[in-house]
Amino acid sequence: MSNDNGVISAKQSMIMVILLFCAPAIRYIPIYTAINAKRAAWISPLVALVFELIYLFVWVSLLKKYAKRSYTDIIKDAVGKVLGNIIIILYFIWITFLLSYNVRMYTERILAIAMPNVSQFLVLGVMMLLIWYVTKNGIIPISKMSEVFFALLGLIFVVYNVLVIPNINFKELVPITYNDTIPIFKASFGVLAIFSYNILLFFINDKVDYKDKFKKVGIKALVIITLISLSVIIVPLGVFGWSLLTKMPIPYLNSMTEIALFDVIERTESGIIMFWIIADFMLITIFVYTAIHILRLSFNVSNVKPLTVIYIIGIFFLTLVLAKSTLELKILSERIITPFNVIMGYILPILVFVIAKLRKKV
Amino acid sequence: MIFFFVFILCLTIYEIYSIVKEKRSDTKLQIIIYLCMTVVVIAIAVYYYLFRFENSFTYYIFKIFNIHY
Repeated sequence: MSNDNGVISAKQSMIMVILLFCAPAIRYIPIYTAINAKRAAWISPLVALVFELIYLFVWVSLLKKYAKRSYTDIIKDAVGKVLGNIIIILYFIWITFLLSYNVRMYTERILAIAMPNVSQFLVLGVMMLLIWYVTKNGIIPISKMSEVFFALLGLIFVVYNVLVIPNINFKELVPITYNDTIPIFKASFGVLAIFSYNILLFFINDKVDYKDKFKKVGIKALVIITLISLSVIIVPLGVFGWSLLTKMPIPYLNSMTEIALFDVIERTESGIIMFWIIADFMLITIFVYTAIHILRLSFNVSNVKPLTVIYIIGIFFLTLVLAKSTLELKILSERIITPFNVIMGYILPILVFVIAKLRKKV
Repeated sequence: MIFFFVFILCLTIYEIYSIVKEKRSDTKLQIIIYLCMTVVVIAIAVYYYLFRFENSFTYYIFKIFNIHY
């Protein structure tokens, strides 16, 4: 029997989806959308929302038949064992790769913002040790931590966005013409690429008890995710304008440096850095847990604690050899990770659904 | 590098001991998966220690997808 028999609620799973979205959204969405759609970038989350809703209804339909079953079981049942195992291996490689990319981005950012003279080895080691400690106890502590952090992060995010409003020049968000239609569609891929991380939650679907609330909480989560996307685009776009925004490494964080409370309290962006580190921590934790859970289900292993240790050590070294510079990471993200996220996060699940439909499984 | 190998060796011995001690029905399977993962981790670590100043993994990915920058 498994060591990890805990089941989480629909609300907890959706909180985890939102936390998965936060850190990469701040880092990636403002730049990608502004490069593609310029001052119309802020409309792209609304376009992405349409695709996300279609995607949500695909999952509603799948989960009607496969309630409390992992995505690995769904794939195997829908497309057959051989092809199913190939797809699962692809997902495992993709998750491991994304995990090492996100861990690397976390260390790069920490070293650039807060600890410039500290060894990367040390920052990475401490983070990995913490991740191991949290993931070894199963899904329940992760979901409880998500709930606590979600309240804290929500408060920080709302307060900072309210404080920055006086610095936003709303004229930077207009004019928008019909010529912006295709760039907006292109820019929405950036939002969708990050939103595709939600697929992780379907891999641990056997640990979630939705009690027929999936559609309701799913729509709520989509609304919150769209609001987060809108804020991370509108704030830097309004503060700096699109051309300056595209030249900044972390525009959302840079726009927070503009906050001056009653012209007395300044340099308050440390709160947003804390927000970012916690969101990254949760993202990495959920990624590690999901990857190990895929191993557990694929090989039907009763105890995955030893595998967690060696997997985390593997991620540690993979992170170090992944790239030599931030430029490499940036190009990797734009040219490889974004299209692959869309394929693995949207196209493959929809294909699985279509095959299941053709084979009259759903 | 020597420290890493000693660490991995000690960890492997400890983990295999703990797997065997638990006496579950899938002890063999657990040990096989653990050892396979250890081999992969050692391969990545050796690459890091020997070739970290040459090419990163991203370099090979760019080569596969013919991306120039």
